[in-house]
Amino acid sequence: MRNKPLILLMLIVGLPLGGLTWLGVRVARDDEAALKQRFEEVFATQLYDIDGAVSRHFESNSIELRDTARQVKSAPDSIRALIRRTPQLRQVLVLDNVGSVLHPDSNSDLNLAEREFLHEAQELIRDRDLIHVSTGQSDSVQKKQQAEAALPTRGEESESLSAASGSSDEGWHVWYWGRGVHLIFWQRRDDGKVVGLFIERGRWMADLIAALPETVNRQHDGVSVATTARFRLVDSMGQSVYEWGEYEPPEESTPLTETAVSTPLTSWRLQAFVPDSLLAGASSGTAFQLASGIGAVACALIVLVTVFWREYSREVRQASQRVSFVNQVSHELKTPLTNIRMYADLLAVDLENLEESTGGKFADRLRVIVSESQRLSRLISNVLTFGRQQRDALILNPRPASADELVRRVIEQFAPTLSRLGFQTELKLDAGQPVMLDQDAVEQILVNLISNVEKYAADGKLLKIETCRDNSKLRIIVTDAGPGIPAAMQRAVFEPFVRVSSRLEDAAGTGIGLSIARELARFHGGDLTMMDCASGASFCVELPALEEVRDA
Amino acid sequence: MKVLLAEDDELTRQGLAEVLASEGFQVVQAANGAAAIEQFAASIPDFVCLDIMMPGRSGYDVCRSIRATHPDIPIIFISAKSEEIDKIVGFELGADDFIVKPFGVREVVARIRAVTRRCHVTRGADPTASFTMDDLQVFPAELRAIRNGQAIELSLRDVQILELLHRNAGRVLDRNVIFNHAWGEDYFPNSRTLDQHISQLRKRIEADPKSPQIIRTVHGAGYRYEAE
Repeated sequence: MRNKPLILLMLIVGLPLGGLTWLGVRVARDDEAALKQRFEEVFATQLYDIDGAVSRHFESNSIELRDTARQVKSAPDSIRALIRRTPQLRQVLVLDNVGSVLHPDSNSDLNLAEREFLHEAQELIRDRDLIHVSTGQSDSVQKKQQAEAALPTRGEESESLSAASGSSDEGWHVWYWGRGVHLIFWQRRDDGKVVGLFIERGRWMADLIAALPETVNRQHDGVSVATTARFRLVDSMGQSVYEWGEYEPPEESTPLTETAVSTPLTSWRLQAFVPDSLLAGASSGTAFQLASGIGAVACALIVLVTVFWREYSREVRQASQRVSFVNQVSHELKTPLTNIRMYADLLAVDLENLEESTGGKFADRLRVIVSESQRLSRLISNVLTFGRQQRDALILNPRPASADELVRRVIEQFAPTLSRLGFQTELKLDAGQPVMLDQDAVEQILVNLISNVEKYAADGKLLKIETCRDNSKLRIIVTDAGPGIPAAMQRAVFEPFVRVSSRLEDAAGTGIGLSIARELARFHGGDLTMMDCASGASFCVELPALEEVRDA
Repeated sequence: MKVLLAEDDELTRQGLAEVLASEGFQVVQAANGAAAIEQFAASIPDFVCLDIMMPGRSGYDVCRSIRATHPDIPIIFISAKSEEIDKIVGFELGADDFIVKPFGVREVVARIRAVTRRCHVTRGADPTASFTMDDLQVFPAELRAIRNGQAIELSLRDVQILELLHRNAGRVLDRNVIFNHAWGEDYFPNSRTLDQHISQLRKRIEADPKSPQIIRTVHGAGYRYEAE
């Protein structure tokens, strides 16, 4: 049960911290996502630029090839000469309007390269791919080529460019043969003939790679993108054709962003890879701020909880002190009761042997009984006074009385105990004329002070009581030669239930004696204070010295 | 038998010491825990009476310290601490009995006799061993006598006196002899003490205390037991 508040307090710390951490992590994650998005945008722009360069390359290439295509005559020798002149040209295919091959004519005398080419391209020729593409019926072709075919997109442009020669249409076509992708530049003439220029594969690839913007120097947040990223051109199979940039992405890593390449290589893709550390590194600042923020809140909470916990445990301690007070009181009440009862019993046994008993023995025992009952009544009166004081029900009844006589009477009451403990009692009484005093209250104050001396300062074996009169003040000073009261406790000893030591082994007490004495003195219009002294303890009761009844 | 009595309240200690002495114990007194441990080591008593709340070292401390070296010695706590938990702690520490303040003398005597009986048994005395004086059967280890099936409680001192008289049946025993045997030689002699004690004892063990048959007075000499 004692741990319950502790668990509660830990929850008070833990729950907000947990919530805060969760929120923080979410914010950080959002932050990271936003950052990633920004990176994605940046790299998408990069890829777009690269793609632009690619399409520009093919555009300028197609202008070149348009002229070349126009130079194609029907004579096989002139075509062969053209191929020899143009290094990027691998072979030329001329078809009539229905797709029959006009060149290279298998019926004529063909060289080795032409025979090989016809063999390679037999499927392309049979399926009339170029005829379909050039007449806009590319659906079946696309389907056959698994959506990898290129559509002639620059018809309008070519039309205006081809006005001089009378050619109506041209464009790129992608032809898959073997494992590789092959590019064909086709041109349809007014007479329906279709000229297909088969481009040397190694050549166009080299040209394409040469056209790629090798160094990208765009800066992003002070980080050079080119040095920290990897760009990759991949073919339709996902194989890397060419890559550049200093970052080495691990196997199987996914690109930050990618984009399809424009015509004619639409099945190819451009990919950008960025190290995770770049993304994380950029958000680590936020993480640090977050961590320090949570740390600060945690510290504040812990301090707060510690304060609360201390406050709470103080309350608990005080409550338990009150409980132990009850135990102490019962102990205090029981000790004298024990003696009264035991001695009464012993007296009874003695009475049985009355025959020759001496009167002195009985008298001694009776004295014990009397003094023990006095002790008991003192304790009881303190407890009752305390109870009354708590209920604000204290009433004083001041009458003219001599303080000196009062002191003598109290000392007399303590005389047997003091002499038994070997106390030396010094009295210096000079209070003068009787003043208005509530004798019971003043007696209780003195009794409590002397009880303390007897209880706690028995080692000093000295009790000094001084009385003096200073105009309107009456002072009674009680001094002992005991261990004194530690400076730290000098204020606290007047608080109820505060004892210099509550250990089981030390002198028993209730801890209310001084509290009651001070309250009574204050109620009497005076005060009870501790005086500085070299050794032991010295208490001063200060009371108003009024010689007549004040106007009530 | 020797008893160690540790109690910080002087009056309570003296009263208890008197009760124990009148029972026939030799009492060693200690006013605080530390003194109790010292006295124990110096005198090795037959059993111990401990107050719990004492200056210096508590009765619990003393009990622990004694139990460490003498696990069998009977210990009685006499305390104003009457909560159940206090008693439990006391018994856990190996106390044989727990007397709560304030107590009556008769209660203390009864409990001390009970512990003394256990003492005798643990020391190997036969609780059934007995001797007969007239129509009275005395069980010394049990601190008890029986007449006509009626049990009579005896103190340790009563038993010591009866044993002495029985051993010396037919012989007159001088007051000093009896006194030294039952009170001990260092006890301040008081002629009245013995006579008063015999008088009290007769009230309990004699069928007719007015004409005693077991303890007979030999005027001017002492006391005598006459075997049948």
